[in-house]
Amino acid sequence: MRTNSGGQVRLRAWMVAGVLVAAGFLFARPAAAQVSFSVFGDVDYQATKDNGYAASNIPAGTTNSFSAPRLELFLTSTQGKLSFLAETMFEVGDANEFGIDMERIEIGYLFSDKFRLRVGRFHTAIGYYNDAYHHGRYFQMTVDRPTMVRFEDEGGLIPAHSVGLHGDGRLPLGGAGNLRYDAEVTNGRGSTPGMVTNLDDPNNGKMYNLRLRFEPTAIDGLVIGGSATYDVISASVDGSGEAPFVSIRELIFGGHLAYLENRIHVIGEYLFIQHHNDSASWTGNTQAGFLELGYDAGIIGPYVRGELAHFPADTKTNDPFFANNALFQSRGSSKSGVVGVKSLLSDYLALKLEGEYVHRDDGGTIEIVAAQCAFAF
Amino acid sequence: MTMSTNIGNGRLSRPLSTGLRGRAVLTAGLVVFICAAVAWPLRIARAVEFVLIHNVKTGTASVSKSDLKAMAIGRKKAWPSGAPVQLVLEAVGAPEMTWFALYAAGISDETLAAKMKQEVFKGELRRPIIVTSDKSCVNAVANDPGAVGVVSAETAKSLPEGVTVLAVQ
Repeated sequence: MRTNSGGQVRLRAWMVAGVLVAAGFLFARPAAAQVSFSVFGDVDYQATKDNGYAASNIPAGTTNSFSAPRLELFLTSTQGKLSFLAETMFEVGDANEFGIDMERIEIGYLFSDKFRLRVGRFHTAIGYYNDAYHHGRYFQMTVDRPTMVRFEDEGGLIPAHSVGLHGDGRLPLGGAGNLRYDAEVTNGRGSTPGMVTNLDDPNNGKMYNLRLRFEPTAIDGLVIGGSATYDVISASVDGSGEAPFVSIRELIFGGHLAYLENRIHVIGEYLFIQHHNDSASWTGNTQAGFLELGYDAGIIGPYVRGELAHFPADTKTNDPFFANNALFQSRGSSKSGVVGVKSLLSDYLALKLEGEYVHRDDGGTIEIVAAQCAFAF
Repeated sequence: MTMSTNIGNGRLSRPLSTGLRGRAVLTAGLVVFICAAVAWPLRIARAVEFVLIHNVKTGTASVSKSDLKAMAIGRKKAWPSGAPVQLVLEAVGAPEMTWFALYAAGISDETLAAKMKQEVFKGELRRPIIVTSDKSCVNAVANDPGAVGVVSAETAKSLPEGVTVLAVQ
């Protein structure tokens, strides 16, 4: 009896303890993470006069169009050291129809100021522009990105998006400043310039990328950096994405400088891209660079940008990857200049008006006038 | 008495009334000027009466001015304890935000807010928690181990356990 009574008491005690523990778990459970939501997009007008480009059978002509090219939904959330970010783009394709692209999906964990790990699909840490400006045009000074760092389907020369691992951190260098590093292991390029390897890595070989930046204390806001990238591309010979494939070893070296303080806007980048075609025993060096200067005075912000791109003369025959690049096909080796003005009408709306002149080294010019109304809500 | 006499006198009432109105305008102007003169320094005085508060779990009692700016624009992401930096601010236009932008980054609150928006978009800065009062700021700071916020010096005199003033060196 006494034993039974003691057992019941113990049982009740355990039950009470169990309920308390369960309640503890229930109420100690962290609050549900809140997802913040923003919308970005732009509405444009562009008139283009092209004198024709025989190398790519582009006829001379003039076009002009209004466009509502993209609308972007931007989600972020944080829970302790975890962070989540997603950029979903509704974008018009060649058929004048809207399609959906997942531009970024990032899950991050912040270990400390010296190391943060991110996994997912992100903007590759090459140069300055590519991961300083994303798809929302509101933030960038100009209507379009510099051609060499445009997105894969727009003719950019770099793998703008990557899928894989990204580690970064900031290391203090005493009184001199800080060293910021970014290291990435990703799927690398697809078999065509416009392909991002979201699901499959065609050749299983990974792309390795390292970027180092120095942020001097003496000039607050100045960023000086460089990057090195290694990848092996299984390039589709006819640009369809299907076999036959050619193996191309790619090395990208870049240098950049940026200063965006006190309303001054300076971004300069240089890229050296070496492609080695194993089957043709061919090595070609492509070089590109741009310098963008502006004065961000808010209501009126004038800007200029100069760009150049130089492809090897025999790219078309020996480099099936760049031979199918939209920039190579539409401009080839070229020099261009942009002059424009950006006006921030409010915290949510920016108007831009600019003119661009492109001189193809193989002959022919392009003249573009563009206006953009970019929003960020 | 003078006034009623003047009002009673049709001839004199008009010039005297004009004189009175002039004096009234002059007096009102003087009052406005004095109020403005008194209020302006008070406004400045109020502007310097803000302080930074933080959650004690940040693992430090002070930060340097350059680190504070780095935190405001997402360059510095974590505290010595490892807790992620979480800014708790009032909206653009609020005196607390104006003070913070000028104090931490040396720029206007609108410029800082635009910069923050871009850094959030880049994934470099956690979206700041926007509060509407000192009380809600203190609560938000108390609830996040990496939070740093701005309150009036008066509010900072009686902070709850786990929240203290952050010194800036």
